[in-house]
Amino acid sequence: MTPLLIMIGIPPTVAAASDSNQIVGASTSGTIAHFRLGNVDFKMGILLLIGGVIGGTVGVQIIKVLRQLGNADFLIKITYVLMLGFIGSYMLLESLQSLKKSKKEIEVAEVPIPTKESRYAQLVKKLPFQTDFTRSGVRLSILMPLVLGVFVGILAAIMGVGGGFIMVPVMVYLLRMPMHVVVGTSLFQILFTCIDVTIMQAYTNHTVDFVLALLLLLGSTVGAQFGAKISKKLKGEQIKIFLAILVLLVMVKMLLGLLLPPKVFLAYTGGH
Amino acid sequence: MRWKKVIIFNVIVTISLLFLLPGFGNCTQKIQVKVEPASLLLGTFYRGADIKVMGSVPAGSDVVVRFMGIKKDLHLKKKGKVLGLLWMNLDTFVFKGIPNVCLIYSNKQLASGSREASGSSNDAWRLSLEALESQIDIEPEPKDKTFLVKELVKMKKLEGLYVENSEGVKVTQKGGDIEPFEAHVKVPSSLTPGNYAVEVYALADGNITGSKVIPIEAKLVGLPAFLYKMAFKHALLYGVLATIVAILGGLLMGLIFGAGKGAH
Repeated sequence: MTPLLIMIGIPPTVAAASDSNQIVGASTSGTIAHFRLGNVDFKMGILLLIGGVIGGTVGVQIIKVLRQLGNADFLIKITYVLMLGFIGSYMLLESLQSLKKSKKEIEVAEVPIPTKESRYAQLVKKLPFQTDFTRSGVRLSILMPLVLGVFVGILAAIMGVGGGFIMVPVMVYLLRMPMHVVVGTSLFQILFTCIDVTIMQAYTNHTVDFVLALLLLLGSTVGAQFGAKISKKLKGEQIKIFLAILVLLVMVKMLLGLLLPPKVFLAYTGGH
Repeated sequence: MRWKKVIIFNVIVTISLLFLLPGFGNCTQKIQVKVEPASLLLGTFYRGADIKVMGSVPAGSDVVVRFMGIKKDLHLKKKGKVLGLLWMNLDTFVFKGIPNVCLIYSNKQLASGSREASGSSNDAWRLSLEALESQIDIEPEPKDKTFLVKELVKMKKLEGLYVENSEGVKVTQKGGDIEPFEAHVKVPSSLTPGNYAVEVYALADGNITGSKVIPIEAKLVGLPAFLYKMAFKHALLYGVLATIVAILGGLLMGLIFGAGKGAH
């Protein structure tokens, strides 16, 4: 959402902060629904949340300093270019490969994951403060969700994202949590991280546009209904390719904004 | 009693003599100006405004109508390339005494391309954007001052905050002592709250023969005023309220459309 807002001319700092506010609304009902289904690992979620709050606070301060220096917009854009470039390319390549491969080959391709996990598991077991996460059925160091939470919190503040697109693969592949718990727990963590980021951004940087956030919430909820209908008519890989191309187009647009000479060679400093 | 009569007589004589002086009286008496609306209300549905400036000037005058903001120092960053590849904000410069808004409407062109061509002593030129450009000081003094000043004006023009319209004032030739004029000043939606002034100048042969300044206030009203006050004066409460309303909005959306699958 944030890159699209930037593309239509909303200042990146306002776009990111208002999108965080919108995500609070967007993730509320989902969190409650998953909570009722017992899909939230509170122990894991609270550790991720503590990290998220620390990271969010750090991220808001980074934005504050960079706004004063006049380079917050640049950081937001360059972070998006890198993240969208990576995610878009990965999605596109993976989807194109999946389209080429037969079902058998796909199954074979999924086999190597445990091998990677086993290497990784050796490293994870060496970390201190190991504890059991009963709901997720895993044993990990509490440092892992804390550090990952900090990372996602920083991204939430800088990019105005909930962090779900990073948190979900991280939970699946790095924390080895079952998928149904991943969705509920990530929503729980995203909700509270974005509450923290919204309040911090409003207090520190005055960049939350509350009306914009409500309009985004309304628009995204209504749009999601149409999206759900369209997605039923398309194959999974087709949707992925479409999304990947969309992500890459946005990335290219933002990259061009950084590479091509600007229309005006002056810009306002932050906090004006 | 006698000395009072002397004073009254002297005052009457002085005023009468002043009226006989050429040009006197043109300054204000012969310029009549009316501005509508008298103030700008920046409410929820404010999308810019059309200020109607009308009145009369001495016959044969050219008319300049300016909508001006208060002059302030403007802190701006100059964009430059880093690593020979990416454009980002680099050096900070303070542009001294820059009006945040400068909308200039006239019935004919004020500056014909250069100061020399128009003549710097020419009042008409002094009212132009070109004159404003020539008065701008920058700290610290940059090597490319002319370029940066041009960029500032370009930026303001792109924002709709600086305008020069040489066909924006209609003067009706009636053949009498005074002629009516009318201008519709388009104030942009990006106008910030504050005090502004509508300036009207009558010119003859490029020189000002009369002027009038009407102050006009732009103020936030309704929801924008409430949100501005909350966001900047009660920022913490605003942040908390923004999250509470988002949560309630999310719950409402969940009830209407079914529980959402999540954020992103």
